[in-house]
Parts: sequence; structure tokens; C-alpha cells
Amino acid sequence: MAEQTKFWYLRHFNIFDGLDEETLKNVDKIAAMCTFKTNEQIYFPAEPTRSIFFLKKGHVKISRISEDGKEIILDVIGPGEVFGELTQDDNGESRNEIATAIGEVLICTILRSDFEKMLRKYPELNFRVTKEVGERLRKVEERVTELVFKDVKKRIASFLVRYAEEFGTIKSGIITVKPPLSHQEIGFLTGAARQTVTSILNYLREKNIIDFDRKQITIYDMTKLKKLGE
Amino acid sequence: MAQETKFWYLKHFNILEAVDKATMMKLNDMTTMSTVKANQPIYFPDEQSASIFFLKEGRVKISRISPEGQEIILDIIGPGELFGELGLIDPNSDRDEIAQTMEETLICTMRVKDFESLMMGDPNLNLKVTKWMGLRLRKFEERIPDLMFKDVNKRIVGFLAKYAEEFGKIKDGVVTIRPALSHQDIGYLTGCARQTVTTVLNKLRSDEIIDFDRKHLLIKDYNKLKTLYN
Repeated sequence: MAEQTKFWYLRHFNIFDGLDEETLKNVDKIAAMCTFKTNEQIYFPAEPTRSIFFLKKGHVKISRISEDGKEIILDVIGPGEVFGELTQDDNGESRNEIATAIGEVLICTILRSDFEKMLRKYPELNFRVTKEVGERLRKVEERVTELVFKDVKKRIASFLVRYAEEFGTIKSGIITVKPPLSHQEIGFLTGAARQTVTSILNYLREKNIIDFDRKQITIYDMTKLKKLGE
Repeated sequence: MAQETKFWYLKHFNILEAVDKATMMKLNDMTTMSTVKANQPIYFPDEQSASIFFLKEGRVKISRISPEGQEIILDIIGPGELFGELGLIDPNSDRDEIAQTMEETLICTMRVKDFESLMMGDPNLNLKVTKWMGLRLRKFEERIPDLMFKDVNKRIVGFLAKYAEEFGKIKDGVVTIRPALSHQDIGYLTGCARQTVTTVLNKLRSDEIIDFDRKHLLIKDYNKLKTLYN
């Protein structure tokens, strides 16, 4: 890929927003681009944690498999976000998470040791990474809280709200969210059985609050959805 | 408190382990130290998050309370850790948690703005803060599958094992954990009713795996406890 293009891509990462040219150019020098097809795994459990990934295009789901083979989705990440272990030592334990491409995915990778050098050099970037990790921390806190405070129906409703806020596009008051997640995946995200997800989504469709097909989720009535999730 | 003593404490902070002497001196000037008695609030929800806190001695619990009055303990903070870090991530938002001391506690308070400028000037400190946040992130992520898949029995057992790892002291094969948590608190941490906690703990006691009184929690058979979780 042309150098110019890569540079342009980097510029559109949230974490690099508004950074000066010099910093951007230096990040660009140490970054490599790669693409993944849908459902392809981006890293595997037990693989040494050596790279940081910047997601340019597409979506990635981060999941974890429990010892007894159950899956939970920790996060769905969209364009502009960073993933991979930002916080480990080089001799740290191996990753026990799986990142899977949803749709065509374009990723920029940087060796973690190189990235850490960059962070030491550019305090502003360093601080942004802290904020990024901090924001994720808040998101996880929120999910733990919801699992305790809310029943399944509320959890699914408030998940849809967050998902729409993060990835949705509004047109004439109607929100369209892509990528659509399977009912199974929504179950993995909210701690609900697939059947439960299906019956709740069908209920929401009957009430004209949402609609969905295999390609997208549509939200007709965000206010009502929010209320159901509270 | 004498300057000498205050400095000594800071030196033994985990989060400040990698920090050089110059930063440490600055930090010393920016913080105020105070002793807080047991069971006192340090901050409330809806307060502005203009301060950040370092815990030197004692334990602090961070909880959320639902509109219906349900409570969840998100975290128990130990010496060497930060808390109230929201101001770093999102300076304009109000806190949504309550922080309370669990025993007599020694706390250093500083303005978020000051800490931020300190981080900007010291990349090691910044990286350390990021790493600490990453560790907390993992701790939270690990609670999600427990809440989704494990029954109350296993959640409580798993919590005891983790709590022992973090705060316990081993002597002659017996792990002593202080402060002992109330059954209510263990309920708030694991998402179950106090009565359930009492039943589970009594069973563990009669099986001679643990013992407890109001001040101590003893784990007599740590391996068995772990087996029960898996």
C-alpha cells in the first residue's frame, strides 16, 4: 500500500487525532498494514503478546473462551480503536483472548516494544493511551454492574442502546447499526441464552421499537429502547 | 505528619515504583495526606471528579448503588493503588461511584490537573498508570464470565480465592485475610443475597476449608477452595 495512504489512515485514528505531523510520521514508520477476511482470527489464545493493533476498517470482536468451552464477547471494536494488550510486560503471560474479524478488516500493527518507545517520546500520545484504557475500564465496570442490577431484558435493551450509540448512523430519525450481530453473539455479550435473545428481539420488533435482518439492526424508537434498558 | 515520613510512604507505593526522585519530590509537594477512620465515605456519586487519590494504608471499597437501592462493590483498593481516576479519563463528568474506607486509612489527595502534568513530564509514571488500569481492566473482565455462567456457590468460592491472592498472608499453610469482609459485602461483590453468602460460607466452614470471625477470614485449604471453583 502506498505510504501516503497509510499515513492518511493513521491520521484518522481517534488516538492520533490532532497530533502533530512529526509524531504521526514516526508512528507511520514503524507501522505495518494487513487485511483480514470476515471470521478470520487476528490473534490466537496463547500467542505471545507482541503487537498492538490499530483497527482502520471493519469491526473486530474480542472474545474469551472459558475452561469449559463457553464463549463471552468482551468487546466489539470499531474503526479508529486500538486493541491488543497495551498494558503487559514483555515477559508477561500469554493472551487468552481471541480477536475475530467481522467483515473485511484493515489493521495497522505496531510491535509493542516500538510503540512503548513512541509513548516515552510523546507524552501527549502516552496520556491518550491511558485515557483509552481508562475508558475501556469504565465500559467493563458498567457491564459488571449491569449483570448484577439488571434482568436479561434490560441488559439486552441497554446493550442495543450502547451499540447504536457507538456504531449507528442516523437518517431521518432512524438509526441503522452495522455490523449486525447474531442472536448468539448478543447472548455472549449480555449473558443471555440465544433463545432468550431471539424472543426479546422479536418482542421489540412487534412493538415497533426495532427491526433487524441479517445485514443490520434498525432502531425506530431510541427513547423507548433507552427506557426499557433503565 | 513529618516530611520525612510522608516521603518514605510514597517511595513504597507500587504505582510509583518506577518514578524518579525528582517526580517524587514534586508529587510530595502536590499532595495532602489525611487519615480517615473506618467506614467513612471519601467521595460520593455526582461529585465532580477534580481529585485523584492514592491509598497508602488500609482498604477502600468502590461501589455503585442502583436507583432501587441495590449495591455492587466494584473493587477493593489496597495500598499502593490509585482510585477516583475518573477525572483523568473524563474531567467533565461526575462520579457515579461511592468510595468508602473499610478500615482506618491513610490517603493522599491531589488535583487531577497536577497529576496530569506530572504524568506528562514523566513517561514512566504515565506507563505505570496505564499498566495499572490495564490490570484492573483484566480483573473486571474476569468477573464477567463468573457472573454469566457460574452459580452463586462458585462465584463466592472464586471470589474468596482471588481475594486471598490479592490481600492474604500465608503462615503455616493457612491464609489469613484482613479485613474480613461482612457477608453483606461479599454479597455485593458477587451479586448474591447476604443469606446466600452466609449459607455458602457456613458450609465451607463445616467442611473445614475456611474459617471466619468478625475480624479474620482464614483459608485452611486453599487448594480445595480452588478445586471447588473449577
